[in-house]
Amino acid sequence: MDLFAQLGPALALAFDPVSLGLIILGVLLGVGLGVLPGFGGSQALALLFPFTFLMEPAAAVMFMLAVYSAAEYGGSIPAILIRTPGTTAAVMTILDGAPMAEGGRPRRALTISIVAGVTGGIISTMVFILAASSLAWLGLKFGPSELFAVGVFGLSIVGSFVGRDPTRAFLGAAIGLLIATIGNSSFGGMRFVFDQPWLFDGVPLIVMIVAMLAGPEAFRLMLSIRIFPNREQLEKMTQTTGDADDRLTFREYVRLIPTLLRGGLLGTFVGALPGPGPTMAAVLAYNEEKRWSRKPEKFGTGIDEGIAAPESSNNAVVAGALVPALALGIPGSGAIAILLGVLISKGITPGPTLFSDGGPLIMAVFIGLMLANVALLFIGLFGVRFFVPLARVPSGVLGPFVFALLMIGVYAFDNSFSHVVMLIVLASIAWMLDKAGVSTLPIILGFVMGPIIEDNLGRAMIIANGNLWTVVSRPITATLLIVAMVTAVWSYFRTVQAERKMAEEEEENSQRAEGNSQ
Amino acid sequence: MKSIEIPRRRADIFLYSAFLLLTLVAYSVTGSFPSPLLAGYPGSAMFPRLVLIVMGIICLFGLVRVLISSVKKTDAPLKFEIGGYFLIVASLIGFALLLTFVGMEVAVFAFIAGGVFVRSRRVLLSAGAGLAAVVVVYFLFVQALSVHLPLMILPRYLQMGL
Repeated sequence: MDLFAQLGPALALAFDPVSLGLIILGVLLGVGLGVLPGFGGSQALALLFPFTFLMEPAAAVMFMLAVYSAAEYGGSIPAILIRTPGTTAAVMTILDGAPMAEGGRPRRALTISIVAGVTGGIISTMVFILAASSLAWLGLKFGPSELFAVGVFGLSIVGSFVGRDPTRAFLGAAIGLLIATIGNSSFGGMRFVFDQPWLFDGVPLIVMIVAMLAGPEAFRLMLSIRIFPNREQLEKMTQTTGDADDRLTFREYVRLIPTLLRGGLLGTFVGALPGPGPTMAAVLAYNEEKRWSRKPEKFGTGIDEGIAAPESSNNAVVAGALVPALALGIPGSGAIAILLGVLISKGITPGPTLFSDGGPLIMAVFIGLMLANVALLFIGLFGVRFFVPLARVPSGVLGPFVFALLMIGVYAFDNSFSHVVMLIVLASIAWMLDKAGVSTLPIILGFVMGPIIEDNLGRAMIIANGNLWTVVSRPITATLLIVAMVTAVWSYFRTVQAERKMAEEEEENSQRAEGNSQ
Repeated sequence: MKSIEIPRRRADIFLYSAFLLLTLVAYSVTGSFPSPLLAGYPGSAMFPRLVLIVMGIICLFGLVRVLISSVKKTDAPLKFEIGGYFLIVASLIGFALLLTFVGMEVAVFAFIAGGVFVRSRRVLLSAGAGLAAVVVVYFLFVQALSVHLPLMILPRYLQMGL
């Protein structure tokens, strides 16, 4: 598995004028969508998924990676300027970014955000190419039963990390697995189609992705159609000054490198775990930076490290998440599930064989990520002023445009009216579930992982003459399944403990309030 | 817009009960799936049944947990903007029907202009936004991406650059 032998063809692929143009376009669209309220990496990718139909596989993946990286950065612009995170991961950037901007140094805050994001992205891209090829080498040694267990293990971690309640997260994953079984079965016959021809091919991945990841946000935008922000305040907050202190010098950047390294590596590690995603990476990086800082009391007042740590960490998640996704076929987040969806829609199966038989694709992804980061640096440093007005767009305006784009995008997939109806039904259910506290992320991950888990289980069962015990008692399979079970049980007890702690705090607070009133 | 508030505990009980019922119905449906073709060959019902068993256990566990736990003061009720929700669903269905039976131009114009009018209450602005959206969708999807959207007025043969 000599990946570096593919360097030449990969360079030719990545430096193809069309690919380069798509990377730059992806960065521009990603930053633009990331700046808009409510649009995270997943939503931006879901919205742009239909546009990849006409692209070559490598170009499509590079375009989507550019969008994802740029959207994660874009979210920090409104977080710094108007205290409204464009993406959930940018919440931690508000803590120091907003005070710095309010103190008359918005350009400095935005510059730290971009250089930190790009540095984190480059660190994780380097780790990706080394770690993913090693993991894929290990993955190639696995048989169907081990790959089935890897899939179950991936879902168990997702369930443990997503949201406050693991029971709901596991329920979501089960819903996704069940929806994945609709339609023609590879083991013969139809399942859950109720004699409806439009269900014979199952629910298309694009419909599922758009409905589950962009649908709830589109509903929220439509519901806020009559909500008007304070325009004067927005105008005032996004004004920049030209003071010398408002710039970041090279020496100051060098001083931030240890912070960027820590954030980048932490983000890469968190990204490689299925489930936590960029928000947790940003929270962990900020907390760790504060814990080990010599001036922790300064955090929250607008210091450089308070912006650099979460920004380098949340951008590093992008390449980190690609490690298990491309090496083992386990998507760790909604955005990565969409990226795998792009590959699957092009007839490419993600997994270890991609590294041995996939030609220059993996190397092209690596080079594409590097190029996306370079493009992001230039666009972020010199073009940020053009994106600032987008931060002032009221979310209520966007609803009809987003929904129209989603429905036409889904129709464009197969010119099918039934897909539009599926989108409406699934998006309506997704919004309801989201309201009830069932995150749609495990649903989409369960949906993507379902066929992989089922196919590998089926193959393993055929090898074992239909004996399930023979399949699950193989040493690596059994170990992975036990670890998956322990992870699930641990996540439950962790939640119970957190709830108990919250109840105690609540009781203490109410007692204190009663004491004060007396 | 009309909205309803449901106590958290009641919403949780409904959630787990609804999915438990769905699990039971779906499990009974798997009985009609084709049997395995050969001995030792997993049939098409095996995986859905495994998933449904796990789903049933999760629902039962969730339900029991909700029933035995006490009501917490921090549990805010769930607020559903039910009026707005049904209005949005109706407008989406309207868009889909218009797209199929009347064409993309009318569907996009009506949907965007209607949405912008609800916000701005300005007829000219809404009409302008609707027209702009039709033009963007036409050139982006029909011309640039060669998507066969149902068209009523705009021509399909127009090529970019001509």
